[in-house]
Amino acid sequence: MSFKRTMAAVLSVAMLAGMTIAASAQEQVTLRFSWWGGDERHEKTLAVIDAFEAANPNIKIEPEYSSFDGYKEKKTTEFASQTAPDIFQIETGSGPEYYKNGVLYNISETDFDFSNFDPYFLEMNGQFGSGSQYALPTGMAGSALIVNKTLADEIGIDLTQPYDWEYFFELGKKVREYDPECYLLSANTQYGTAFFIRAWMRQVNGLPIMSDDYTLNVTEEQFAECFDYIRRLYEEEVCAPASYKAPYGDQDQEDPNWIAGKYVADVGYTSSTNVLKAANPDVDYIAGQMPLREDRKSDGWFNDCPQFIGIYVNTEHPAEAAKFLDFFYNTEEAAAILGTCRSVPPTAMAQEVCEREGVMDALSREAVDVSLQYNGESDGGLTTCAEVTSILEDAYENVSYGAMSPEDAAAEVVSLLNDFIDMNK
Amino acid sequence: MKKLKISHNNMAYIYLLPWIIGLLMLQVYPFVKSFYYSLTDYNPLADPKFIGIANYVRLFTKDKEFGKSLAATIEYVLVTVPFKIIMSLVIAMLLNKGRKGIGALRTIYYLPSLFGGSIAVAVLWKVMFMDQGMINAFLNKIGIGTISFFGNPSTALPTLSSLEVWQFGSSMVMFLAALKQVPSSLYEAAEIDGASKVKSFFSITLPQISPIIFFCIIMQTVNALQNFTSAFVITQGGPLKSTYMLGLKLYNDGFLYMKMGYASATSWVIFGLVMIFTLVLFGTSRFWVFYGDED
Repeated sequence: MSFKRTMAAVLSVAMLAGMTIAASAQEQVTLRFSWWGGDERHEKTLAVIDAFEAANPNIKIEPEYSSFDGYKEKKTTEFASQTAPDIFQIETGSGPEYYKNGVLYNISETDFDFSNFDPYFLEMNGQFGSGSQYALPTGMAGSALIVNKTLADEIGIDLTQPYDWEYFFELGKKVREYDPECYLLSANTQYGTAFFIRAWMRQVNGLPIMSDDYTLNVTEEQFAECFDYIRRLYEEEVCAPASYKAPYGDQDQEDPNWIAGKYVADVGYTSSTNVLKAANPDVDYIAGQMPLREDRKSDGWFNDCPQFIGIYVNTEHPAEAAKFLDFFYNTEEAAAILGTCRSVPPTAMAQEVCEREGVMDALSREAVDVSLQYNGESDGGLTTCAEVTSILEDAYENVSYGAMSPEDAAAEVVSLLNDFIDMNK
Repeated sequence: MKKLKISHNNMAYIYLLPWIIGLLMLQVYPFVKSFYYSLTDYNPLADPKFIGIANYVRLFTKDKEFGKSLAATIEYVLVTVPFKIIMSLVIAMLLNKGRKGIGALRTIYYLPSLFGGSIAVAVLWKVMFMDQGMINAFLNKIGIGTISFFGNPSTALPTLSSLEVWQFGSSMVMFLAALKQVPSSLYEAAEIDGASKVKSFFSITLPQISPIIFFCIIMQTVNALQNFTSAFVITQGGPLKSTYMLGLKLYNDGFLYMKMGYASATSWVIFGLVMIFTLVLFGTSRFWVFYGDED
């Protein structure tokens, strides 16, 4: 009898333990996921969330989505009040800052499956020199020159062959002679800064403008030379006037002249190809080659990612957050839904799915392929942090408006960057 | 059962308690705390470090943006406040007549004020004044041609001011109430003495409503010094920092560059400006503000 009783007791305990485990497995977990983007990205991301919830009924994802306006500021407030969402999209330039400030969870410590990613791509995007993955790249991207092929062919312009920076002046003149209402380049201050200052400097020195140890790698003379190039772009009417472009901010697709097909090319990113194409779908587009200096130390142009996605360091459910990201990045179902809404996907598996399902945007793919040809390295870090970016953008704006001479702008930039270093080092 | 007796005074405090708690938590505490933060190097993701008055020294001696920002803010105040006061007074005088449908007209003119500093109105303004907007369509029609209101540093600030001026309703209502209080006997006496309408306006109307003008100037000045929404939504402070007002600088320093201590110092400078403007206005008020109980 005592054996039976013991067995009964053991079985009861085992049953209770099993019930407890089952109950905890079914425990409802709610995660918040925030991102920015346009309607297409919102719709596709919501569809992935639905698919994930259907496969994981015990995990609910609360979406928080918006446009980019105010997104970073909102995150700052949420970090300060420790109310940030469990999972959130991160602007590439902010990734290193967030890592430095300790708000990102180490994804390498979770069960996330990294096997679909190229290890070097992961190392360069989201590890921030730590050797662990603190953020996941959402796609492959880089600076791009989106060319209105229809107009370029009409004028007789070819941007598919290698060329140097001076070539823009020759083409700009040709465009103005063809039609005084047309310009070679549509360039806004934000994207123009990345294109004409950061990339230029990477070609000149083979280094970012500021290294992560707060070393300023660019001299005042080098800035002056770069700013003089920008001055000429506007004075010689290669770019549309800065005062005309200013009201549209970085939303080049809203510029009526882009919609009317009055620009040969737009200075932007591979991730903006979709919206630019959608704004004027009646013409053909290609991704142009990028300008190169003959005496360059590096091609300057590089391929990195359009954004990251990370897990908040204070999340109560890192395992579930990683599980969602695993679904988001590593399932064919999610890849087919997302397509290229965050540029070309970052894994070969997702790219194959997109090709197979016919959701790979050909222009995005082409723009990414162009950016992959170059050997430049990302300057993500202090060079892309908000304050340094603002200093560079102000200089670009001053020179493009003709409000400051290249020499004065260079002197001011060096002074402000040194001041930034003194304040933060 | 013994009834709990509460004195009138205590009862008043009980009723006031929610407001007092709100005042202490949402006004007094942040006010004091922001002063403390202004004396610190404070990244919101780390603990603040006390640095004394270094933020203020930096603002006034090293920060080139601060000078531009201060100039833009003062220019905005000097353009906005007089135009808004004049506009609201003129409309109030026009609406201070016993015409048919005057009530509906007063409501229509007051409506813009109800929208306040909303994002929607700022976006509307932006669309209206864009190169392809309604205003430029009109200017083109009358042969003036397109003006890049937000692309030109000399027109961007006045265009933002026009949005504030357009929302003149609250001042207008106060002027309307004040105009009704002016005794008609004064105008009758002036008419008998042969005073013209213009003379009556300057010698009777303005002195009689001067306390309300004074109040409106102070309130509008305080509002204008704190402007943020229109500069943030429409121009982001550009072009060339021409609309980079202190409210926007404070926001960028705090939330974009994560220098919350520095932003707090800017907020105290704005507070100082409000105080200076108010004190100057109070100082001059004895020369032009007339109260009924004075000799």
